[in-house]
Amino acid sequence: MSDISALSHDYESSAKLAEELNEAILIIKKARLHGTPDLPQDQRKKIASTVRNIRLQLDPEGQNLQEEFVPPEIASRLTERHGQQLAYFLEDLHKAEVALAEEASPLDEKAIEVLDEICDAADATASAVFRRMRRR
Amino acid sequence: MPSFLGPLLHDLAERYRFLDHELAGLQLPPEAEECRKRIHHLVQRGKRQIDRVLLDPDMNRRGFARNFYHSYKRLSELAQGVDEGPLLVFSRFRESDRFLTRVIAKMCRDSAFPHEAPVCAAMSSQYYWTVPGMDLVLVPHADATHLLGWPDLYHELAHFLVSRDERILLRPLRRRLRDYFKRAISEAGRNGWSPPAIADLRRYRDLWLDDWIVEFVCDWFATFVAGPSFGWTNLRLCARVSTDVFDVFETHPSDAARTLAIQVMLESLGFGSEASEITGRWNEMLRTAGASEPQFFKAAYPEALMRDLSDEAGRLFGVLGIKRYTSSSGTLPDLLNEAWRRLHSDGASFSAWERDRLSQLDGEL
Repeated sequence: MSDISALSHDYESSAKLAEELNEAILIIKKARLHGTPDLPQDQRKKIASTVRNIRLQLDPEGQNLQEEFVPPEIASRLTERHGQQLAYFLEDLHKAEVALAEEASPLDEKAIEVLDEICDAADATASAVFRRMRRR
Repeated sequence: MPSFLGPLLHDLAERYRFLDHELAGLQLPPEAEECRKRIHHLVQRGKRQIDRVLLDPDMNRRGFARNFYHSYKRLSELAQGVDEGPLLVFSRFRESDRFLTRVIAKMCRDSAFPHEAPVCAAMSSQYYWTVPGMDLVLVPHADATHLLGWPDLYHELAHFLVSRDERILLRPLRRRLRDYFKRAISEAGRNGWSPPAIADLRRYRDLWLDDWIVEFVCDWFATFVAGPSFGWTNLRLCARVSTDVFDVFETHPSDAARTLAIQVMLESLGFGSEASEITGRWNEMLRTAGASEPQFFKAAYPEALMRDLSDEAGRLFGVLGIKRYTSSSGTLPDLLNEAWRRLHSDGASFSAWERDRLSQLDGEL
């Protein structure tokens, strides 16, 4: 009934997304650097689907095609960051999504940069909501 | 290792050792023991994660610093959440909290709630609230000995449901919302609505998709399980704390919209006469306060959409195996509905009846 329950829900959604992405990025970076095992297929598909949902949420034409809900604060952080260049970022998201969806395709620097950027937005959102729950 | 993060990770590791030690040493009654174990497990997992990060050979690499910083932040938030939530509650757990935890466990059994019952403690300064990830519900101190706010416990329980069954519950409802607003926005364009009015529709869609749908689902669940008693508790809360029942907030739909949502669910459950009675009192309250429905209300909360979503939510609760309210004796929803009937029929003798029923319930649970 109080705002805290709603904020707790928001926090859990963005923190979960931030954690999943961060964990995946660390595995991908370590695999590239040390040749350790890469992201397992199921996790790779899941991240591809997250990237797709973010792309659809950022694209005014795509919003009705979204399968999973992405906390809007994450999307607005990405939109704000890219401003007039959003169309290019949508293209980068699409490329990263395709690379992740293709089993054998290694991820290039650009795709990792895109994942890091989404992760930053999810992290900043989780931190902001966590703070809002305590300092209002 | 980035210079600022190393010492902070050691500090956090010490914090986790402290939480681990505290949680391991707590002697709690059986009602809270399962929850203590779950939280303790979470803390031990966090502690292992920090140890792994501290030993990670890539910590010094530039390309990894930001990711390890993110890991640090999540682990920090978890430690703070445990400290301020369950650990605070467990270290001060009293008989009244034990009673409320048994009450909420019975609520879960009565409604065939598909998850473990949380711990409930009477130490809130923010009315009723929940931290789903910590299995915790907090209520005001007085509510351990007063029945009329308890229907709100069902609303709080529903926060666990939307958090754990998001795909089953929220995904189909959000799909309906997107479809509805897509049609409404395109129709508004065809009918020559002004650009600001269409922008408002988009804003309502975004608010619905984000927090509003969560709150509505929680209200529909509480109505589905606790019947008219939830409508009365909502009316009481609005009468107590609302400044403007039509106000739009980001995290919550307006009080008037939530009252409408409860009404449509009650009607679809076959409690039409109780719904009319509650609406009658609600309208009386609006007249008393001099409040009137603003123009945007019907665009933000269309009744047809409410009915469609409420019906779908009811169907989805059924899919999850949740039992809807029927007036069968021996259940808590029955007691809560009886409490509201008693208050309305004989307000003066209510508190004596309430004390008696609470004492009986304490013996039964």
